[in-house]
Amino acid sequence: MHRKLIRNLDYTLAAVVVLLLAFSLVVMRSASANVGAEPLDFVIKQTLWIFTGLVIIGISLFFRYQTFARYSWYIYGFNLVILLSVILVGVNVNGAHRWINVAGFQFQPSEFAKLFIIVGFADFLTTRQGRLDTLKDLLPCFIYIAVPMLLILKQPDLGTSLVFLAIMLGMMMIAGANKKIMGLLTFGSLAVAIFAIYGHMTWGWWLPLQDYQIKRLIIFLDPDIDPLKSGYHIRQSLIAIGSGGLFGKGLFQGSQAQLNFLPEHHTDFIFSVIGEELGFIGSVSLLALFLMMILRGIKIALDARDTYGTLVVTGIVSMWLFQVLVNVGMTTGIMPVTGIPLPFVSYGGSAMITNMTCIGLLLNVCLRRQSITF
Amino acid sequence: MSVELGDLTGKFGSDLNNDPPAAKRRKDLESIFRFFSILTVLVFVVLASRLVYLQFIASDQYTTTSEENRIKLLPIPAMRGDIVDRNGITLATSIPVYNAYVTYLGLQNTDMNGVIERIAQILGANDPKITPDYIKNLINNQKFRLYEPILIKSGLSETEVAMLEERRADLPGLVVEKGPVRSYPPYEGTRIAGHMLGYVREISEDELKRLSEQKTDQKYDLNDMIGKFGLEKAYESYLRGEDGYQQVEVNRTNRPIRNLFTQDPIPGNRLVLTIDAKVQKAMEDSMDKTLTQLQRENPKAKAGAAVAINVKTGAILGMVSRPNLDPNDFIGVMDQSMADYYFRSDPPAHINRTIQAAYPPGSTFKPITAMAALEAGKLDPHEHITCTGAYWEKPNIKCWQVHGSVDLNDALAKSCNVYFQEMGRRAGIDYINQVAREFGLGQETGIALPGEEEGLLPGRDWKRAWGSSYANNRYQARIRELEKQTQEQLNNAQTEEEKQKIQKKDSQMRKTIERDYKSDMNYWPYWQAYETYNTSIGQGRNQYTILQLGNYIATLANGGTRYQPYLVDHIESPDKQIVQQFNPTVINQVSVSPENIALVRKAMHAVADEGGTANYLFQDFPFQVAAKTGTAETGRAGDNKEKDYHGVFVAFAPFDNPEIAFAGVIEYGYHGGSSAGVVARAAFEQYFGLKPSASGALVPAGHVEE
Repeated sequence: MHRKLIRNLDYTLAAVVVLLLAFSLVVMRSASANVGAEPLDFVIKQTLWIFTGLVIIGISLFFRYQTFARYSWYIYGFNLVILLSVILVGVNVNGAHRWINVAGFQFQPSEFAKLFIIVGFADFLTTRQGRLDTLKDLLPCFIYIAVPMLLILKQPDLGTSLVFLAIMLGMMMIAGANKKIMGLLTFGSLAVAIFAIYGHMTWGWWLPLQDYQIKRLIIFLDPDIDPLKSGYHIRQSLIAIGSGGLFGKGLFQGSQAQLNFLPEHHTDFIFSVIGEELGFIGSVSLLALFLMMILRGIKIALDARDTYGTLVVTGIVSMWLFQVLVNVGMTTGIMPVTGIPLPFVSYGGSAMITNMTCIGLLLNVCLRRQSITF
Repeated sequence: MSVELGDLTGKFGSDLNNDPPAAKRRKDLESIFRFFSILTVLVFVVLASRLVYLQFIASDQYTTTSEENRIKLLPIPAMRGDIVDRNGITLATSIPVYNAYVTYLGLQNTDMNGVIERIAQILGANDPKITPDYIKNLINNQKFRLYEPILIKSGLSETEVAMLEERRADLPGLVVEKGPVRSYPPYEGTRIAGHMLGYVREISEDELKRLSEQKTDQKYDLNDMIGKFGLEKAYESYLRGEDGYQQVEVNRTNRPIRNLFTQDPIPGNRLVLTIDAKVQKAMEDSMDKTLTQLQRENPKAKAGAAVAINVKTGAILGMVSRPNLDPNDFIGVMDQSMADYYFRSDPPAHINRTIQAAYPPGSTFKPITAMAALEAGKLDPHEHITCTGAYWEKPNIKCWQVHGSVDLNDALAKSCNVYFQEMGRRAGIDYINQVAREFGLGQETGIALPGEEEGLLPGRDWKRAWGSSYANNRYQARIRELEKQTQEQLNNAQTEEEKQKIQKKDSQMRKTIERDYKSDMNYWPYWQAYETYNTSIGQGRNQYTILQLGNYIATLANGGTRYQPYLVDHIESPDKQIVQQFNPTVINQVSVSPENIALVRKAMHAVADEGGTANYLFQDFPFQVAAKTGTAETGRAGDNKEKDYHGVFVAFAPFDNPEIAFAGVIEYGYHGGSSAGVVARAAFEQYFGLKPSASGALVPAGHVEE
């Protein structure tokens, strides 16, 4: 890596990420205080993941990001292999196979799959640039995404599969896919999905989803119809965030989180802890950091040296935007409960390493935005 | 955070900068990223607006819910006050026991069936009733109040508590808590005074509704215990105390995390009774022994009742009813055989036969007749009446035997029916009524126990009401019968002639019935002479409670002051302050002159003296006793008139300075003296502390025979 490249580093993005991670660790300290056996357990592990991620970022910057394009099919193949292995030899947690054990660590391949699909799909689209006008042109793209997505849906992990759709949509739009067809397909399938769920609820139509998944999808419309079971998560989350008010109850003071009324409050529902303990000020500040990060990402995508870089960054930014929307939307009761973690904040090694690697890619694309003359 | 969209003009592949298609491509890209940015900002605006709604507009409401989530009031039940005898011997108390509850919220996200299985395994070991299905049923019954703990078992043994604590990790949702339970400890081996004490049970929904409408200070919740019978019911508001509560912070499994505030419960007050446990026990033991013996003669002899009263105050010293009631039987669920014993058997054990049953007094009524005749000025104590074995006036009611010439003392001592029928005739029913009423017969005594019977003192007023209703009923029944018969005959009639015949017969019959009705109305509503004779000797319609009889004897013994009988001497607060002291209450002073009362008392002394019907009972007493025996027709359908008589007995002692009065009955006991009399003797022996001496004569305890 040339020294001149360092001048191109996006310090704003780096600062935003550092703030986000600091925020995450502080909240994690409070949110996990009553979860593990050791109060610092989760903070230490999360810190470990962050440093692992920093090391990966450091190393990755020495490689040209275009290198990934060369190996895109190997990456795609490797991705399918690990997703298959999850289904075959994965660890069963609450009836879902999402984890595999490697050398004593548990990995969640669906997190890494998002990254693999982005770097692979970016190459796939780059080679098809300018030839994405007809449905016939688009079909291979859909198949490319559909194969790993169905493997994830099989786990079952509805949330991550939906993230794949968001990534695909974002990247294809930027790659210049036919806007009419894409728009029609997006809103068409959304309409079909809503109609199918409505049909399932009213006339008992068959759907390729478990009953609990459907219930979770629609319970946010009225959590009070089942306050002790499927509506419980949402109700408790709304109570937590609402009772936080402007300034919040203070770290370690949120009764909803500390007394375990709020489920999964160090993972999927960590935003509710922020809302309860740090109030409107804290939760809006967090949203502001995310907004800045995503807008910086969009700028990097636009400024990228080549289409491949633009598309990789677009995929990453689409992923984050979708995850923030669905996660915060879920905890505030305007989106279905799908079990998508909040990037950089929710506890989880696989997700943290994936997201940190994404930052590495963003910086990599940013550093190499101009041709360097030696 | 704002990124000027115009700034997004970095170079997209600088090598393509001067290439026109690339420039167009660049422009397209810019516009689509502009759209992307707007979409991004929009997403964040939506999320932030939602936060504004939740954390500003609806914040108060969520704050309240959050507090309700975390703060729970756990009631701390107050210890119910003890009930003790006059000497402080505990008859009813509250003991802390361990109870096992489950909370649904604690169970819901666990392997519920497994947990229930394990609980049933531990608690069901000594209690086969507790099965997994039993627990599931309890949970199901409370499905609308799932946040409340559900009681699985009360009164856990120490082993059970230890086992549950040991396996706490396997039993989420299980809570073991200490709470008081009512207990009625035995006194010298037997549980005494059951009917008087009564019992407590869980409040019923009806009671709860009624109490909440009354708006008293006492607040009750479902599952609260309440006095249902006896003193427990009568003094509920004193005994109950006031529940405290603990305001605790709980987590979502409803386990308390932190105590926020504690309001200590206020224990209930202590009732100190007028009862003497020793006298009470002596009466009960003697009653049981006598019943066992009498059952050999007459298997129907299963029930009885007796009271002992302090004649100078009206304080009750002992009060027995049989078949026995053990308040401990009313704790928890009652099985079928037990319920039958108390409510459906013959005789049902639940009734307190001293106040909830009225008995014909038999000859124990005769002192009233004597006083009435004396007051009317128509009885000269030295006048002799000749008994030839039956009264000379119709219907010639028989005497026990031929007594020959008797005066007042002889007549009462030998219980001569002829003498008292004559005295009743001379006094007249109105005089008898007046005296009986002054002595409290046929009226509630006003004792503070629920469910007291009034009894019946027959007289002209009663007869008028009873007789006209009797005549009316008879008339209506006959008319109905006639109409039915005529209708039937008319339906069967073939010819017009036949029908006319039937109609004629009908109107004739109607006239007869009308005539009979008139003569009935001239007869039944009027008091008849023979009824006076019956009443005079305590037969006929007379019916009084044993407590009324006891209080009448106490009034007679003390010279004519009728006190209200009472059971509670005083009520103490938990810190031993006297909350209420009950003093003797005079209801009335009888109008019978002291001289006349003295004459009758002397005659009652003759009963227990040589030649009297109760002479054998108190022969060995170191002081004189006055008494009256009674052998009363039961008045019950299906009884054998030859041998089915209730044995009634009244007495007071000592004769010259009376302290204690007694009244008792043993159903189907035949002779008063040999049935209830034995109980009286036991009561007096214990009250005066009499012990058999070396020579076989009784002496007061502590006195050495000279």
